[in-house]
Order: sequence, then structure tokens, then C-alpha cells
Amino acid sequence: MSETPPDAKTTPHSMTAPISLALGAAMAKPPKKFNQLAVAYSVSTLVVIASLIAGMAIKQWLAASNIMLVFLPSVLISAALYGFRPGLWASLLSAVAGTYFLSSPGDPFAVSDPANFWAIMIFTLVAAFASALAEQSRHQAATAEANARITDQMYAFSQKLAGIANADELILAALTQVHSMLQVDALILIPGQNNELDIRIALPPVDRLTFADRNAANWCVEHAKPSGGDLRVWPDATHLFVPLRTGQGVVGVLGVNRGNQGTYLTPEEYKLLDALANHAAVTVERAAFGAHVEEARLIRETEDFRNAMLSSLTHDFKTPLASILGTISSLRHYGSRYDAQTQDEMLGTAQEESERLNRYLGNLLDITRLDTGTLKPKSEIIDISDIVGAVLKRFQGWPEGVRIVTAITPDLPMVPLDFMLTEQALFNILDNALKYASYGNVVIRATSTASTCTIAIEDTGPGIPPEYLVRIFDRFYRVKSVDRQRAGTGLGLAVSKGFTEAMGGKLVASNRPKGGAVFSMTFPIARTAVQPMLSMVVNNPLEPLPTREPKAAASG
Amino acid sequence: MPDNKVTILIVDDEPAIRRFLRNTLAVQDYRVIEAENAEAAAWSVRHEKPDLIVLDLGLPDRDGLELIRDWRAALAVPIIVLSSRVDEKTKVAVLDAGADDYMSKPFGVDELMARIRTALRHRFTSQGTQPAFSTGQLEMDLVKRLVRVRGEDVKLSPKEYDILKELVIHAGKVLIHSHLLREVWGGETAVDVQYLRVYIRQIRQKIERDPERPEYIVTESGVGYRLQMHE
Repeated sequence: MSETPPDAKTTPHSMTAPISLALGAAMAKPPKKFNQLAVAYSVSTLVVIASLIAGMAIKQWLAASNIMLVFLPSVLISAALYGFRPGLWASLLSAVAGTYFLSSPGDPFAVSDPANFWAIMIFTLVAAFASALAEQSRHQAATAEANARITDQMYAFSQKLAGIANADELILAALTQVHSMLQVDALILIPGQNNELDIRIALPPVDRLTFADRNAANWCVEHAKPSGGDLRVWPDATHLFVPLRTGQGVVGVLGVNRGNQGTYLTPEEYKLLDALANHAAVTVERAAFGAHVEEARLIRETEDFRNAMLSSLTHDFKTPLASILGTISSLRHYGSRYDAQTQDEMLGTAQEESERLNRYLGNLLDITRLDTGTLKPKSEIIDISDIVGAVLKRFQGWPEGVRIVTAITPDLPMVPLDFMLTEQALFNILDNALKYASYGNVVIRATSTASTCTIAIEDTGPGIPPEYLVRIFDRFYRVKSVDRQRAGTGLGLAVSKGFTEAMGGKLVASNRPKGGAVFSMTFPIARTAVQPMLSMVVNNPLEPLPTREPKAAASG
Repeated sequence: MPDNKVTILIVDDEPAIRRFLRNTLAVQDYRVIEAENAEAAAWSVRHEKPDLIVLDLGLPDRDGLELIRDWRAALAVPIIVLSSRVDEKTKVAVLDAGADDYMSKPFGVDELMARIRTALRHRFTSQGTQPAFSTGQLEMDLVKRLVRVRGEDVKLSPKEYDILKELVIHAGKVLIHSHLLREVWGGETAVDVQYLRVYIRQIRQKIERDPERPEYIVTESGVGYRLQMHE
């Protein structure tokens, strides 16, 4: 911005006004209300009347010329309590009252003795001067108190900033402080692309600046000096702009606006604005720094994820492939030496491992569908025991020495779900349970409450370390390093969770008190759903289904 | 041992891999024992005295690399590592810890069987240093310091000879770069892998029919070199 403002030569209002200047000025004090004035003058009057009564009581012991001293405390009290004017009022009242004592007995208000006349005059002068002094010390006390309050607020403010990590919240906090301490509309502008100033945050929200404001703000950044407002630099601007300076230079502009009254700040307020601007500058700088850190963290996390994904993919693809390739190459080289049973066993291995690879690929595709948002779950009214039956059928001939037991509550309500997704989610959880529960039973338990239906898969495996109960659902996440677990375990649970949530349900893992893990899928039951109260009992709880009898495991 | 069969211990947590390895080795008259985790493997090594161990690195209870380190201190049993880990760092660490060979999953069994035979032969021959060695058309006399290829004498510089000798002593086994540098250059510091590459190239030009497609000194990418055995 090379354009020169109309009056750029004039130095803008000094931002660090000396303290004496501040003292002379009215402390941004609101005009006193009528009530307060009435109280001040009434009390002052009463104090003078009290002095008058006291004076009458002790008159006989005092020399006539000293009687005025009786009134001096009342004047000082009034001035100290209410300031110069009530003090002056008290001195005038005292002077009038004093005439009563000093006048000749016949004529109460005629002071005949010139010495007495002078005593009253000097008293009035002294009293007025004392009032002024009292007023000044009162003012100093008020200033000190205001300064202490500001210091407290600034301290609280910096404490508050220290506790905020988020960049937007940081800047908002700084702006809120300006807004509330100075009673102004405030905004922060930060140079964006091409060094154009962008409104970072405004209180209340502002979309765009007027032409004059924009020029004033640009001038402010360029010259690192305040502009706009009541300054002579860009006086048309509705806002007053102060630069946000740090060791790095000007990082932005703070603009304040008093609305229709025009932005005129007292020197005290300028001081405060300057202090707040310093805070805001540090804040803006910190926010920018924080953004860098956040960005770096994101990159690192993405990288970690990518590494985990790569090693998982490697392991999960290579392990079944190793069995398939090994089996096939073995049959090819030594096939003639194998008896029929061994040949069959080896071909069986190749088949099982191919199926495993296929399941893993299926999971990978499911994850992709979840990630790309192409998954659209249907909502059909479904019988849970139907799904359990379908899953058990898929485990038929599963070569594991584990028994799958079902415990499905009779009268289980029908639930609006996507059959295929629920089946796959359940299959993966069961697959995982079977991998870890190498002995004992795996129980599929289905229960319901008034509003939810839960399918829980309980195993007798080693359980899940508490710190992994949540992370176990992270894709490609395994409790141990990648190849120390059975291949294909890195995605199944992530798919189950994704599917469950896509259908409005929840999937959580926990540990059973007696050992083993339990995975619970909970779905809401639609109120409107038809709830046929037919007998839903497919099996007696805890009695094995015919299909789930474990087949004799071929391996050791 | 109940009979004279060579005993091979398979350590892998994947039942499918154990199954085809067991069958393949059994038809070739090896006695096979299996372990599905590190604990069972350690027990078998102590009580069944295998002649060779085929080891997967990713075991549920311990990392295979730790097992190699444990065993190397006390045993001379050849160890062939099978793993789906493909990074060079792991390969070097495994070989450096004392494994005889490293194969990446997936692999063909013929290749594995050849490596097993080499490792076993090496085990039986390395107990007394053999004065004469030959494979294919390469002959080496370690006493007379003679090298012959396809019937003709080959003149090698002392360093070239030392490198070839080290490869021949460990014929069939992968020797990592740092091993060769240590054995040939001894305590000399600041000897670079680049040196080794230069010498290997010179040796290949002298003994290989086609240095671009070496028959004897084969490169294990990023890891080291191996003297290929010809049967």
C-alpha cells in the first residue's frame, strides 16, 4: 500500500501516555448519578451541622477566633469521602455557620470585628485547598485501585491463555479480553496470501471492512504504528487499529470500534489497549506456531498409520500366500511321494489359506467402502437369531478346537438392521474370538432392554489389556507387533465397528471378571418396529447348535 | 536320538505353514518336531537336540531375534529364518545375530530345501576346516592358497583371496557386509562397503563366466554376499 493517508506526518496519539497525563484526565468515569450526588451533599451538610452543634457545646472554652477550627474536620471528611465539590460545599456552609458564632450578639449574621471576618475568609480558602488535596489523593487511590484491577485481569488473562492449546480458541480468548476490558467491538486481522489482511476473528462477527478501515489497517501494518479511530491517520476509519508486534515484526492488526459514538479512547484506555495488543501479538504468534506443531503431528500420525498399514498388509497377505505357495510347490516337487491322505490334507491347507486371503481382501474392501462413504446400510426388520445362524454356518468346518455356544433370550425383539453388514460384523468378532480363545467356549449372547438389543461375544482367551480396549478397533492395529499375531487380525474388528456404527449401533470391548474378553454390539430398537411376540427361541440357551460342533482339528 | 534321521525343528505360530513344512520334510526323511511359540521352541531345543531350526520371527510370546541371540551363545545348530518382514535392517540383524540364512515369505519349498541341505552340510563340514573345497567348476585349496576355475589357475590379490576364502569357509551362507569387512580388514577403521563392492567385482571378473550373472558369488541385496553351492 503506497498511498499516503491525508495526514501521515502527524505523529499519532502516543500509546504510552505518561502517568501524570493519565491522572489529570477523567478516569473514564461515568457521570455521577443524581442519587449519589444527593447523598454526598446531604452527608456533607449533616457533618457541618454536627460541627455546629459541637461548636455550640464547647464555645465557652474556646477563644472566639479559634471557633472556625471546629468546622475544619467536617470539610476534610466531606472532601475525602465525596471529592472536591462536596468539600467546597462543606466549607461554604461552615463559613456561614461560623458567622453565627462570630457575629455580634444582637445581629446574628453581621460580623463586625474585621479579625473575625478575616478568620472566616482564610478558613474558607484553607478549607477549599484542603478539599482539592483530598480530592486528588482520593483520585490517586482510585487510579491505583483501577491499575491493580487491570493488572489482576491481565494476569488472569495470561494465565487463561497459557491453558489454551487450540489456535482459534487462543485468538478468540485474546479478542474476548479486549472486548470485555475496553467495552469495544474488536477484530484481529492477519496477513494471509499475497500479504492481504484477512479478518482472522471479529467480535461481534464482521464480514468485510470499509475501504477506509482497510487502508487504515494496511497503513498500520506497514508503518507498525496505530491508525484510524480518533487519530489523524486515516480519520475516516471507524476502527482504531494498533499493530500486533512481536520479535518477528508485525504479525497482525488489532482493530477496536466503539460503534456509533466513534472510537475515542482515553489515555488510560490507550495504555490498556497497548498492553492487550502486546498480549494478542504473542497469542497470534503462538497460534501460528501451534498450527505448525499440529500440522507436524498430523503428518507424523499419517506416517505412522501408513507404516502400520504397510506392515499389516505385508504380513496379512504374505502369510496365507506363504502357506499356499509352500504347499503347492511341495506338491509339485514331492507330490508323488505323498500318500493320498497327506495330499488331501495339503490341498485342504491351500484351500483354507486361499479362503483366508479372500476374507482378508473382503475386509480391506469393506474398510475402503467405509472410508469412501459408499456404504449405505439397509434397514430391514431382522431376527437376531437368523443372523447368528448364518454366521455359525460360515464357521462350519472351522478347524479350531473351540465350541461356539449360543444364548439367545426368548422373545428377543426384531431389530432394524442390514443383514449382510450385521452378519459380517458378527463374523469378524467371532473370527477374532476364535483366534485368541484357543480353548474353551465362545458364547454368543443376545439380550434386550426396552430400547436396545445387545449381541455379546464372550471368549475364554487371555482378555485384552485395559489400555488397548479402545485401540483394538483401530484399523491395522494389533496389541502386539504385526507378525506376532495371526495374520488377518488387523482389520476385522475395525470393519465390525465401522459396520455397527453405520447402522446406528455401538461396539465396545471389555474384559470379563473371570477372564476372557467380551465384545458387545448394541443396537437401538425402533419404537415403530413390528414386534412379533412369536416364540423366538431357536435354541435352548447354552446348548450347542448342531453345526457348531468342533471338527477334529487336523493340526496339532 | 531314536534313529539316525536328521532332526529339524519348525518354529512357527501359523498351523498351515507348519503343516506343509512338516509334510515336505517328512517325505525327505527328516525327523520333524514343531513348536508354535518361543517357549515350546526353547523346550524342544533343550530336550530334543535338533540338527537344524527353521524359525519364524513373529512369535506370539517372544521375538525370534531374541531366540537366535539366546541360542547362538550356546549352540552350533544352524538356524534358517523365515519371515514376512522384508526390510534389510531386519535381515542384517538376524544374520548378524548368528542365523545361517534368511528367507522371505512366501517362498518355494525347493529353495528352502536347498538352503536346508547347504546349512546341514556346512554344519557337518565346518567342524574341521577342510583343506580343499569345490563347487561346480570352482576349486580352492586353502593350504596351498590355490584357486582354480574351469581347470585354470586364477591369480588373486591377497585381499581378494581373503574375501573368497571367507565366503568359501561359509559356503552357502549369507555373509553380511559388516562380517566380511570385519574378517578381511580386521580392526582397520573406516573401511567402507564400497571397498568390498570393488573387490567383489574384481573377484567376479576373475572367476565368473559372466560377471553380470554370477554363478558363485551372489549378491543378497542390501545385506551381503553368498557363495552359491552347486550340486
